[in-house]
Amino acid sequence: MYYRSLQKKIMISKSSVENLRKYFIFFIFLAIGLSIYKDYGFNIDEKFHRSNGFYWLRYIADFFGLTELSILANDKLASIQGFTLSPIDYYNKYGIVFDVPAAIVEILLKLEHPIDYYQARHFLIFLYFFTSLIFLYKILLNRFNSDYIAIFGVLLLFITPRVFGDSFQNNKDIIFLSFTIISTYFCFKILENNKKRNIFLFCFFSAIATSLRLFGVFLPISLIVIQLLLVKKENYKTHINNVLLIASSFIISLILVWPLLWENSLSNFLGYFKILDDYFNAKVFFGGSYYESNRLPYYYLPFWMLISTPVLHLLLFFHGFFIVTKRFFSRLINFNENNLYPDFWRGKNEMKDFFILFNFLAVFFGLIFFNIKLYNSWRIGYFLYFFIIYFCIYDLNFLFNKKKINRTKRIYLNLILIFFIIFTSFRIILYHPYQSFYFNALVPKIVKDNVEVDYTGLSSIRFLNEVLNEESKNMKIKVGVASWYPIWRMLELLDERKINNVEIVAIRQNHTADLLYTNRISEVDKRYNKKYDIPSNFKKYKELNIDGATIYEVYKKIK
Amino acid sequence: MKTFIYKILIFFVVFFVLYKVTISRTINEIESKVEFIKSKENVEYIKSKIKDEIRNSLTKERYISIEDAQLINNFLNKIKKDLKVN
Repeated sequence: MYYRSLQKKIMISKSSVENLRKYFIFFIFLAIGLSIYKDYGFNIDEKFHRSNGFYWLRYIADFFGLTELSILANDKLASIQGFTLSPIDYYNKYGIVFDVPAAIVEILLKLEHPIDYYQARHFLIFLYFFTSLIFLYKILLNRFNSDYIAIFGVLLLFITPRVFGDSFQNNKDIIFLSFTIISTYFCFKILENNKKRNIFLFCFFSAIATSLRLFGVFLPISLIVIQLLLVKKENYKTHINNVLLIASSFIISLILVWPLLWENSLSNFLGYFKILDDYFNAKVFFGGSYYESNRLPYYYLPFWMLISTPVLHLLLFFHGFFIVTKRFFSRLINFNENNLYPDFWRGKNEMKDFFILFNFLAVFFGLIFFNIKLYNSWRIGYFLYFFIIYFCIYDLNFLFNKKKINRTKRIYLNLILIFFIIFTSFRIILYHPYQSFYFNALVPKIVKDNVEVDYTGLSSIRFLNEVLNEESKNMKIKVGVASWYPIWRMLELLDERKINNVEIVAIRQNHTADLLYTNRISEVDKRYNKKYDIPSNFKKYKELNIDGATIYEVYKKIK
Repeated sequence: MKTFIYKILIFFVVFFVLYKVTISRTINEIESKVEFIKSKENVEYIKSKIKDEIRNSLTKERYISIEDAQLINNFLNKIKKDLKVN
């Protein structure tokens, strides 16, 4: 009796230590986010998304007859101006799950200064990402049943440099990644117990994901495919009912969470495809050549994934992906109608792996083969990092638990993992606050020079502040831009006392500027179109170079 | 029946991937080249090249060699002669 109670006490204290460790690690992540979110530059898209937030807040307020809120939102919307800004009435189709809450936060906290409201948005993005880390932990715990493995998975996603950097300023792709993770958690729940509550929650979160990026529709499609694969003579009613419930809940949720579809749902939804087609018809610099964004070489996405993902992630991913794919094909080859087991999996865990594999392959090949417009590295596909991490953790679980490795090998494996974690963390610090431009340690400089780096102009605010600090005491500095970047949008973020010391000149007048800034991005083929050529009376004055990647260059007039 | 459906689906997926990496890829490349030739960018580039060439010709003392000049002159004279109907 005494022994049993002692054993119980030890088990309780062990689980509370595990809980404490888990909370401590999440606390550390949150503390890191809190301490550095102000360091980041400002993304070119943020101004547009701020106005999108107020546009839809006004719409929702009008819809529900909230006059005061509508007036407030309208005033804010009217104050957002800029000749480089895309017209909000035309491009207002994005999902609102980030933009509207950000607009509400701005109103509630009475944030009036641009620096304040943009930094609040940065922290809000990080909070979405942080929430998704908690769900990632739950997914991995649900699948691998190991606290250590689940925490390691969360750590891997957290220290994925491009995701880390973007989690402080990318208000589209990181939010989409977050909702992909949250949806998958509820999908795993459905695969376990088919509860209606989980189906509704899954449909709700995957609808939010779809409103942000249409790839989100793969989530319910994959679940429907799994339900159809589960159909047998004796259970077909349950699964067909599930399919109907998933489809109808998803469509209803999509309309609910996406105000664009509140009126003329079908025509507005179809109109969204036209916007996607109209949007971004610029050239993409890749491998030293310029391509149309929908005619990129097939290796564009895999190449970017290889060069911008840490070595540790790549090693674990390839091995994990290989094992899962091999198992899938062996199931496929040995498939026969009289099999005791369902077709492609044995047990619920394998079914979850199938869901991940199916989604990953469908989206990966979809992005490659359907001429989806890709630009700015592969940020549109950053949500694939979730699947990459899943395969990494699958591999770790395989190595630690399935392979039955001995104690010595286990120690070596742990040491290797610790080494790579420290190495990747060190490189995150090296890149700070430009982790969004990360290249792994194996990438040579020639590759970094021949792809787009600072597409969203995160570095421009640093450049402008440096100019103001170094150059101008009382005199006015004329700044030109020799790249495809609307630096005008950054002026409102400068110190009010110094803002008048900078004058931005139009591209045609670049020869009259004192300094020329270039983030090396061009929407035209620079070999044939010379509009961004540096005038001959300018000489390179300085550049920001991190780990061999040129972030921006500054040219100064010499005569 | 189920096996048959799976086999058909897998066949179509494999066929699609093979088509995309072979025939579709070549078509894509050709389309890209044709679009580039038609593009405003390329037309502007050709125009600027012609202008450069004209500018170059103005700086040279003799742009067409004596031999070529003689040949073109003879050719133009021949054309003129042929154009005279009567």
